[in-house]
Amino acid sequence: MSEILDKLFECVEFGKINAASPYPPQMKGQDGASEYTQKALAEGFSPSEIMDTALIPAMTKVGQKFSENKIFVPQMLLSAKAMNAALVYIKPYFSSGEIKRKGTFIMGTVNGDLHDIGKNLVCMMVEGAGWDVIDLGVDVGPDKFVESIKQHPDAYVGMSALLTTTMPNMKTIIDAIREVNPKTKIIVGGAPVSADFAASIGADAYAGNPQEDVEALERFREECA
Amino acid sequence: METGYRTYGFPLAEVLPTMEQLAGFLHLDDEQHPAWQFADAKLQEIRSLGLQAVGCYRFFPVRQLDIRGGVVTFEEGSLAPRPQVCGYLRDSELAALFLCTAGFYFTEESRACNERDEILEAYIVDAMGSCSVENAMDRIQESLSREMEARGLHISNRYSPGYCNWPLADQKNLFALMEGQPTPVTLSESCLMAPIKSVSGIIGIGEKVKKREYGCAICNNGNCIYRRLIHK
Repeated sequence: MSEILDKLFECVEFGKINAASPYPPQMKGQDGASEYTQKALAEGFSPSEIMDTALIPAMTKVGQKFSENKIFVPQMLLSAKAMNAALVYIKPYFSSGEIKRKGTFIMGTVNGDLHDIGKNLVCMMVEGAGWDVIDLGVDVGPDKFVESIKQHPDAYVGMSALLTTTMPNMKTIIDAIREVNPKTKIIVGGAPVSADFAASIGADAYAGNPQEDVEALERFREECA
Repeated sequence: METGYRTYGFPLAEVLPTMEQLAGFLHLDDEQHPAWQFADAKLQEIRSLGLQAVGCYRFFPVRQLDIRGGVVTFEEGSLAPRPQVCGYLRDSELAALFLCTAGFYFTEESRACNERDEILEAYIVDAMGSCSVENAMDRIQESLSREMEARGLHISNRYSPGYCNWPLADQKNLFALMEGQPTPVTLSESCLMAPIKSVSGIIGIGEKVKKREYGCAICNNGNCIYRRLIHK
């Protein structure tokens, strides 16, 4: 990997957003993810190369460190900020088709539940892993999931519940989705959810943290290849 | 013991987490981290807003405590906190059912941050709300403890639906027992309280009641706020 992409990787891993960001101290005064992305593009690296060799691997490393309790939510969110600073310059290539995305992921917190932090973390990590993410928000019932899957029939679905009282709504949503698209792969997660519960309601995977969502999506993609 | 509601109000400034408490909650150990810098400034800002945390409790004589069946029965109704919590309430002659809220500010501010794509800031504000309501409830519990000790009674720890294997669905019974309570806290069909930064639950009271440690060692809820506050 080139020095610029190495630096960009490091900026995302440690949350160095731009040259003005004083954090992390060992990188103070240096360029950040924003500047290195612009430099990489100016030096002729393709947007895909930047994504595949710097940004996605950096966020993968962040996700792994999080799942191993080596870093915690604030550190992960700072990395996401650095990633977003880089994506400002990369996103235009998503819509032009120059960067091929891995697929579409539809995500929401189930009806009756207003918790959004876990959902937001998942959306952020999945987007950072190279997926298009459709965030349906919180308190999302079967109709909204179904409507979204009709618009994106090849999409994968994720749903989150933070309450034992709203966990059963996951099954209702899964049944509704499967009625219109039996092949849709679905991941469930959230504090009270377990792998056993996920299996019992017909979900294809359980994710205990955002990195496990990313890994499940990679598995689904390989199965479909 | 009086049967009406005992109400409390605290300036939010008094129950906001200290930076040390918040840092422990967030697993932050670097004062230069932007999360620390933001939190420090935000705590100062919130202190100047003049907001309040409010709470209340009401005493209920315990008619029957069925530990094995996991049910505590009062004159006006019953709760089913399951055997673990009922065990913690052993020897309770009275129960104080409580509600406490840090208000809507934290949820609204967190949502506003999210809408501006300030995801780190949204997370920190949300965490401040979680700590604030627990701090407010700590003060109510301490006040209750002092009052009861003066009468020769002891109190248990506090327990909430959704924790220590107490089904969240029992919130409906708890709110039914607390009909007419004076706080702005309401319960949704899915048992979610509004404001979200609210706590509810039970404290056992009696001459022989003991304050037992929370059973974190035998619980697998890694996201439990009590685990994070106690074992930070």
